[in-house]
Amino acid sequence: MKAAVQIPPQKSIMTRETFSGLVRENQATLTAYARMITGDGVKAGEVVQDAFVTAWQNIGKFDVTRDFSSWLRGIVRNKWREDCRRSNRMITMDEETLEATEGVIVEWQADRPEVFDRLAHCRSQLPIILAKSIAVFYDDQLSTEEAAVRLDINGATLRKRLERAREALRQCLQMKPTATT
Amino acid sequence: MKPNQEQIEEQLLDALLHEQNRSDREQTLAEIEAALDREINSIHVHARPKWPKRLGLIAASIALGGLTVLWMNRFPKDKHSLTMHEHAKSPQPQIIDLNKAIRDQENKVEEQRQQLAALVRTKNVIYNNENQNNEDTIKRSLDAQDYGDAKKDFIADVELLHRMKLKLANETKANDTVALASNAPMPPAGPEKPSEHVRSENALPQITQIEPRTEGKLDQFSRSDGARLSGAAGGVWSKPDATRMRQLPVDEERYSALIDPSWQRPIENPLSTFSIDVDTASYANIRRLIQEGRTIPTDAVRIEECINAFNYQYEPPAGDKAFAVHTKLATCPWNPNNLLVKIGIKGREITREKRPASNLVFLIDVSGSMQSSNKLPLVKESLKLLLHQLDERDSVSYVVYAGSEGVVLPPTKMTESGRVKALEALDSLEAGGSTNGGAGINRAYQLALENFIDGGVNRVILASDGDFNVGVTGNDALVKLVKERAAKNIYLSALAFGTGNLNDSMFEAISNDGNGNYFYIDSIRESRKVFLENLTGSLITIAKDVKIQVEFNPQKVGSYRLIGYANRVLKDEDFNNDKVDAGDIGAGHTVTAFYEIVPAGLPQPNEGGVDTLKYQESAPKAQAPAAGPSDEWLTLKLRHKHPEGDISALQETVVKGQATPIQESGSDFQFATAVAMFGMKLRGMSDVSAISWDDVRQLAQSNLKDDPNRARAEFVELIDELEKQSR
Repeated sequence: MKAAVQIPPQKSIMTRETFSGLVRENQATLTAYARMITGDGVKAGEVVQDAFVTAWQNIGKFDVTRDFSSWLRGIVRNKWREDCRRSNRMITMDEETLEATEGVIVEWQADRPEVFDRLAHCRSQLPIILAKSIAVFYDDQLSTEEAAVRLDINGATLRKRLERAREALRQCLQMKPTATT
Repeated sequence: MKPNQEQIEEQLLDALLHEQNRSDREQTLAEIEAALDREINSIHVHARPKWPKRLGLIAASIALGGLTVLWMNRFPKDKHSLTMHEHAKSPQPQIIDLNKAIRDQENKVEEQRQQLAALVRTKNVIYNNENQNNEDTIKRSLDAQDYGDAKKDFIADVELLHRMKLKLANETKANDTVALASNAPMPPAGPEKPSEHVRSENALPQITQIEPRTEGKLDQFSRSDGARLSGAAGGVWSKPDATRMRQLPVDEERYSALIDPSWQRPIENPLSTFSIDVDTASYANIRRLIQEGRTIPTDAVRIEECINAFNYQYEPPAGDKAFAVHTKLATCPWNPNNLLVKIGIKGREITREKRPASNLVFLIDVSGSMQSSNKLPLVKESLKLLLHQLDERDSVSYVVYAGSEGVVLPPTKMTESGRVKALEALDSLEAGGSTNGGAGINRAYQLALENFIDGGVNRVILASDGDFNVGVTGNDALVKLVKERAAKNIYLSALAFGTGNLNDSMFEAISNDGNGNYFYIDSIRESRKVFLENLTGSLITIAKDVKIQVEFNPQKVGSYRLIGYANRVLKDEDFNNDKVDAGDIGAGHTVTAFYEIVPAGLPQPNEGGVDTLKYQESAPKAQAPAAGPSDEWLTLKLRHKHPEGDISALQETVVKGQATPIQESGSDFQFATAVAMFGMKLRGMSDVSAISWDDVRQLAQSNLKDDPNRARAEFVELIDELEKQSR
């Protein structure tokens, strides 16, 4: 397994290249987190971009004894709150839910890029019709209606298959992941 | 209801699945990297000491400079130190070049990002439209070379942009050191060393952080971080590569195709109907293209907008009338047998003091493509001009849009404190991200509606390069949206900025048909014209759906054609149909139109161009009716509605009498004719092929009276430039 990019102990040696490595390392998982709390893929991308910029601006304030991805998630949450305030939207997730989410992230190690490898492995265990439903809906980014047409099934059937697939994946991800470096 | 553990897990899984195989991952990462680099550059610009500190520095520098002079006078001139001193004083051409190259590269990256996004959209279209049996074909098309190549090019160009910015940071750092060294007292020999104190005052921590990225490290960057990136940009960046740093050609700007009105015979088509056009954007854009030495796309030339870009001394209407109509007939300079009819319309004037209160919503594009100095910075300067013209009657708000939209300034009255707030909010804007113009427009109209002033000016002022690439992107969808809002008396002013990716087609589409007006702002001077000299005209609509219909008398007119207004021609039956939209006119605006006429009895254009029919007799040529007044050339009818009305009013004017020789037609007629010739030549119309640029210049130059803003003189200079370029 590829070693994670080491977080430098001091700001003075945090180079742009090192930070780029951290961006690459955390972008996908952080966007997934942002998507979860914002409920919107486009908004998630914007919030994550802003969060990385803010992290870079404040890299000197980062406490190296803390987990970097956890720090980034905190920035994402703040960015999301700011955005909600600016546009007079209600913040949809309360602190309790956010805390519970942190628990799931830790349990699944969903802040590590390797979570996608495990997810891929879980997907490979799915029955073919469920795997295809997931592929068409998520990978090809089709709506349920479009995906149903594509698979030549009706919308309700597709939704049911997706539900079954997600349940199977959820259980698969709950299994203790193997230790990562 | 709070989600339970299972639901939280479900939501997280859903988000992970969405992110797992995203095809645009590299693009997203590149955008983040670009945002980080912008941040570095922005810090570099803003990280200088605050003003009082800077004053101290300046004082210190002056003192040190004085000491230097004294010191240097004590010793023979040292060639090296003199060079350094001069170097510090002179502008830094390499940095200016680098800045320009970076701007060009940013434009290129933005453009490629859009191409990539378009390909991704195409992918979805293919999926949606094809059936399952073609799955293999579809997959092949998705993996097709074009997508892969576009992605590779994009990544390579983003990487090149990073390198250029780093180079700029290092260059600037080096120059700062040189400048500081030149201001420090220098010993007659030995290496110069800037004062530690001064250097620490000017230290830029962020730049210091990236300073260790020497060119060798850059190379390392391309091998490690960029290992999976295209090798196209590999190697050490030394200077802008001419082959990669190409200028954005004009043909990447978007113009709608125009077809000039053709010759018509009154005996067959006695009516000519068109909507007025008060916009002047085309002329400002052509001026920019000429001044930059670029090729002028034919479709960028809207002749009527060139003619209407100048002031003409038309008498204003008497009493409460909305318009005064002026007509004149003279000989045609490019064909002495033909005549020109000039139709001049002058809208009622409203003084600034009497203008109604305004509810202005500025919709400002702050997407990545707006970074160039002739875009967002010019938007800010232009809007500042306007803000200073407003007073406590007026309310201003800002909506900005990039990837998403937001209200930066809620509706704020233009009291002294309100103006300060508005100016500060304007200064805080920075460009970055994609361009969801559709969402921004919706938000701006919503704000305008919430703060609607009855009987006032309710207007959304869009400032953009027109590069809408996310959301409601189609011209038709935008036009529909803008039309719906115009029906609620919220009008649109479109201000176009910048070069390279100007979407003239979109601006023209959304501001046509009574939805608003369109200006191209290429300089602060043009801003002054729009916001200072013509403020009331730009903001206050005095009439809407203004249409003109001309009926030609076949006894006098053998053929006619309308010059310009190529995209404003209406069906004849639309003239009396109040449901059909047409152009608006602002307070004090003038509109000028020309018809070229071939008098009856002379050889007509297009005669003899068609072979005799083989299968049937050719239709007998219609004969001019003997009846009717023989001294009238034409009757002009003008319809318009009150800005808040639905029923149009009609005005009629008859043109009769003898044509005046062009030499005696007056200054305005001659100058407007010169501008018409300018437009016709740029559009490549064969009728004026025998006319030289010198002929156009001479006709214009002899009519430079009443030109307080030097607009006419500048026109002559443009012709000189065109003449020079054509040699």
